[in-house]
Amino acid sequence: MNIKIAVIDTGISKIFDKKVNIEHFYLYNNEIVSGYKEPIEQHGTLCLKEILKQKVAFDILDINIANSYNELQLNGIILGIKKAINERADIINISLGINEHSEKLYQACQEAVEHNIAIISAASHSGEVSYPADLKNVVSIQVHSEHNIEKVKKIDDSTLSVYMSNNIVQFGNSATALNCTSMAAANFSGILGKKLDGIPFYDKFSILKKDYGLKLDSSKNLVEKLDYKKCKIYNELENKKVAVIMLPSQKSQEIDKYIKLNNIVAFYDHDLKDFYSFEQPAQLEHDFDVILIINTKECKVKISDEISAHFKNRKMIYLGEFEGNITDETLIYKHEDFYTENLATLSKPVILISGIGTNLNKFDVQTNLMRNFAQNHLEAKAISYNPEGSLYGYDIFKYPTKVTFPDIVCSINNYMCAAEEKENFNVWTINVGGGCFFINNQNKNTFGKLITSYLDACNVDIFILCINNFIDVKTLKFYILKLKNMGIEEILLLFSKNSFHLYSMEKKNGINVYELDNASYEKSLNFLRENVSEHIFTLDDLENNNLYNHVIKTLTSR
Amino acid sequence: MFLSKIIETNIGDYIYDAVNNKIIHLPEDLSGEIKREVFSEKYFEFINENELRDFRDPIKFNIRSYKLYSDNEFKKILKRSINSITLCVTENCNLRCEYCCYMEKYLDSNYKLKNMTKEVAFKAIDFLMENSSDSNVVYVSFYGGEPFLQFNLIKSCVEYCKEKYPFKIPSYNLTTNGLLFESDDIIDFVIKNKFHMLVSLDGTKKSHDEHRKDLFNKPSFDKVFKNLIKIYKKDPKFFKSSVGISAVATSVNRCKSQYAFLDMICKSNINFTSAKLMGPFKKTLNEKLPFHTKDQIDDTEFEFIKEYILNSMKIYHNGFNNEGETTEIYPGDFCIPSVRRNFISPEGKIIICERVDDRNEIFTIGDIYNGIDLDRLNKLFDITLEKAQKCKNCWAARFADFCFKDIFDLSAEHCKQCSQEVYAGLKRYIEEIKNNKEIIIYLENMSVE
Repeated sequence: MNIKIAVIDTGISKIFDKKVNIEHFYLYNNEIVSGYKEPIEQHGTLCLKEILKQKVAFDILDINIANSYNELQLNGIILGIKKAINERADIINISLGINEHSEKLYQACQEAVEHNIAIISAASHSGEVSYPADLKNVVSIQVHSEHNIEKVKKIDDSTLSVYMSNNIVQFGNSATALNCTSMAAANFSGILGKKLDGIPFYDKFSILKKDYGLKLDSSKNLVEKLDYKKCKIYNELENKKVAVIMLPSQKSQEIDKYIKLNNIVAFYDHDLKDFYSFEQPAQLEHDFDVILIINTKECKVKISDEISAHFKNRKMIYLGEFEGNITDETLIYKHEDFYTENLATLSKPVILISGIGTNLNKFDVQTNLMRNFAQNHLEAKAISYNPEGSLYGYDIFKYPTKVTFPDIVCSINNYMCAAEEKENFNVWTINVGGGCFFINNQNKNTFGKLITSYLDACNVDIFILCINNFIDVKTLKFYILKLKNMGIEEILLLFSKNSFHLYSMEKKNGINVYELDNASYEKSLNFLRENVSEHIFTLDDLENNNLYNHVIKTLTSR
Repeated sequence: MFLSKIIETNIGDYIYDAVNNKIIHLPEDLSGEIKREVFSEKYFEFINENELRDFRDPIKFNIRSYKLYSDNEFKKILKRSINSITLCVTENCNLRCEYCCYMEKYLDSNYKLKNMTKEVAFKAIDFLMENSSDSNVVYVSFYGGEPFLQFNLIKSCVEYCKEKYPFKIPSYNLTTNGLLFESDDIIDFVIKNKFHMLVSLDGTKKSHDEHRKDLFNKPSFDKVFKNLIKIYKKDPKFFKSSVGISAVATSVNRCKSQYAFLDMICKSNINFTSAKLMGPFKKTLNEKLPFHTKDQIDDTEFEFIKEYILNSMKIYHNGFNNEGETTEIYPGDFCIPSVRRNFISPEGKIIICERVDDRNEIFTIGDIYNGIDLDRLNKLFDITLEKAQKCKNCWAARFADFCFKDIFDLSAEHCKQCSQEVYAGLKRYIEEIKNNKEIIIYLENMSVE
C-alpha cells in the first residue's frame, strides 16, 4: 500500500494526474470539497515535484486552500489538516505559514499526531515566528546549502535543516529558488514517505526520533489569568431538579442526605432499575430535569451508547472518568485556571485529609466533617478531586496528570486566596486525591507531589492521614516526622478497614483493595496503638463524631 | 556457601546475599579465594565490616503460604472484587500454528473441539457482574481457538451487556490471529465497541510464516498484514490505542529483522513472548533448528526490547528496595487468583487462567453456576506451597519467575534455567545502575504491567 501524502498548498496542476495517483480537493465556501481547481500559481506543484524526487509511488492528496484572491488563511490550513486526517494521510506537507498563533490550529495538529500523521512544515526565512512550523507538535524545516554536512541535520527537538541546492527552477512564467524552506519541507516529506514505504502503520514519531533525534512535544502550558468563579457544574444544576446515577452502584446508598444539595431529588437504584426519592421509604420519582452520572473511581467506565436515548428529553451530565469523551471537563476546575505568578497569605484554618494510598475513606472523613460543620452552623469550604463532591457543593478539581513546580503551588494558593476574598466561610477541608507518600513505586512521584504542593501553598492546621494495616510502623513514624518537620503540629490518623492486595502493588492499573475481617483489623489497630503516639481514629470514631470533636477542640484551642 | 551467589560483572565481582537481600562488591583477591573455597582472615574481615553472616553456615528459606487472606476476607473478595472473565468461545481455529498449546487437541482425531453456547456465555457474564461491585472496571475477554469463528456469539454477549448492565459496560479484550478481519462487519464492530485486541503477528513475513500456517499448510502473513493495514486505515487512533501485537519468539524465527519490524510499529502494546515447548512443537523445532543461523542481536538497539529489560530491572530494583532481611519468602510472581483472571471453558468451568493446562483438575476453581469454590482455591494454594518448597535452598528464590501455571513444571531443568535468568538479571542490574542516577530515577518512577 502506497504512503499517502497530503499537500496543503496553492493546488497541484492536473498535468501530474497521469503520472501520480492524485486526489484533488479545494476550499469552497469554508469547506474542503472534492474536485479540481486550477491553481493560480505553481507553488503547490513545485512542492509535489520535490516530493516525487524520491522515486517512490505515493498517493497524493492535493488540498488547495488558496481562496479566489490566491490568499492563504488560517481557517484554510485548519480545514485542510482536518480533511487530511479524514482521508487517512500518513504525512501532511504544509510548505507555508502564518504569523498568527491559534489554539484551533494547534488542536488540529494535535489531532493529526493522535492519528499517527506527521506534519512537515516550512520554517520562516526571515526568522520570524511562523505557524504551524513553530508549533511543538509539527516538524519545522529549515534549509542549508552546505555540501559538507549531512543532508538532514537536527537543529532542535522539533526542527530539521535540509540540504537544498542553489538552483532556480522555471515553471510556466515564474521562477522559484529551490533553496527555500518550502521546497525543503516538501523534499523532507518525500524522504520520510520513502522510509515508511509499504507500512503505513509504522510509528512516524518513533522514526523521527530514532533517525533524526526529534522529540515532538504535544503538551502545552496553559496560562490564564486568575478569575474566581463558582464551579460551572453548579450553574448547570441551578434551578433544576436533579437525579443522580452513582457508579459504582453501591455508592447510591452512601449519599449523605443531610448535606446534599436541595435540588438533588432522586437517585438511581441499580437493582430496581429506576429513580427513587430520598424519602423513607423511597418512592418512585420521575420529576427531574437533569441526570447527573457520577463515576467516583479513577478508572474510565463505559456506559452503553443507548443510555442517552433511553433517558431522552433530559439533560445528561457526566462527571468523573468515562470512556468516549462524554465528560464535560469544563464543568469542574483545573488548577491551570488559577495560575498566576504570585503567592499570597491565607487566613482561614486548613484541615487537610490525605492517605497513604487509595480507598482509605478520605472522602468519608471529609463528608463527616462537612456534615458536622453544617449541623453546628459553621460554614466550611471543601476542595475535592472526587466528583462525588458535586452532590454537596464542594469545589471539584480535575486530578492533575502532571504536577509541575512551582506553577501548581501558585495555582492552588491563588485559588484559595480568591475564594477567601469572595466567599464567607470559617474553615477549609481539603481532600487531596491520590496518596500522601509512596506505598509502592507506582505512585511515588505524582501523588506525593500534589500533597507537597498543598503544604507549600497553604499552612495546614490539622493533617488527617488515612492509613491501613499495609503500612509498617517504622515507615509511618518516618512519614509523621517528615510532616512535623514541614511545620504541621497536629497529625491525626484514621485507620481504615480496607487493605491492599499485595500482588497488585506494582501494577499500572492500580492497587486492588479488600476489606479486613474484624479479627485482623483489631489486631492491627492494637499493634498500631502500642507503637504510635498520635491519635488514632477508627471508622466507628468517625461515625460517633469523635474525630470531629477532636478537630474542633484543636481549632478552638489555638 | 548457603543462599548466596558470586555475580561476575564487567565492573568486578559482587556477592548477593539472598537472606539480607543485599549485593556487596567483593575485592578481586577475596573473590578469587572464595571461588576456590579458601576462607582466610580476609573473608572474616569482609563479613564483619559489612555486617554479613558467615555464608558457610547452613541456612534455608521458609516458604510462606500463598494464601494471604483469611477465609472470611476471601469470601468477601470473591463476592465483590472479581474483575475479569476470559470466555473460551471456541476451541476451533483456522490456523494450525506449530507452537499452539491446542496442537495436541488438533492432532487428536478422537477429540471433539468445543464451542461455547450463548447460555454459558451469558451466565458467565452474570457471574462477573454479580461479584464485582468493588471493581473499578470489569473485563470480558474473548479467547479461542480463533474467537471470531464465533462472531455471532461475541455480538450477542456485547448486546447482552448493553441491555442488562448499561452502567457497567465491560472493557472488551480479544486475542485473534487477524485472518477474519477481511470482514468489514467485524472491523466496524470492534471499533464501535472499543475492543482491545491482541493480534498475533510474529514480525516480518519470514519470521511469521515459519510457524503460522493454515489448515492446508499455507502461510498467513500476507493476509494478516493486509488486514492490519485495513484496520489502521479505517481508524488509526483505534489501531494505535487498541490493537496490540502479540509476537512469539522461537529459536528459529528470532532475528534482527523481526525485532526491527516490531520496534517501529505504531503501537503502545507489543507483547513479545517465548513459545512454550509443547510436545509437537519441540519435535518441529528440533527438525528446523540445524538449518537456521541466528543473528547477533544487540537488544538495546530496540525500544520495545528496552522496555522489557527495564521491566525486568525494575523487579530487581524493587526487590532490593522494598524487601529487607528475612528468611520468610514467597517465591514467584502470582496474581490474586479468581480476581484478575477467570478462564471460562466452553462448558462453563472456571479455570484459574487461560495459560494453565486445563486438563489438570487442580486448576478448575469453580463453575459459572455455583461460583468460585473456596475449598478448591485453598487446595491450589496448598499444592503451590508444597511445590515451591523446592525454592527453600535456592539463592535465586526471591526473584524466581513462576506462577500457578508453572507449579507442575518445576523440574530440575526449570530450576536451572530460572537461576540462570536471575543471575543474568542481577548482572545486568548491577552493571546498569552503577553510577547511573538517571536509570535509577527512571526505574523508581516506572510501573510494570
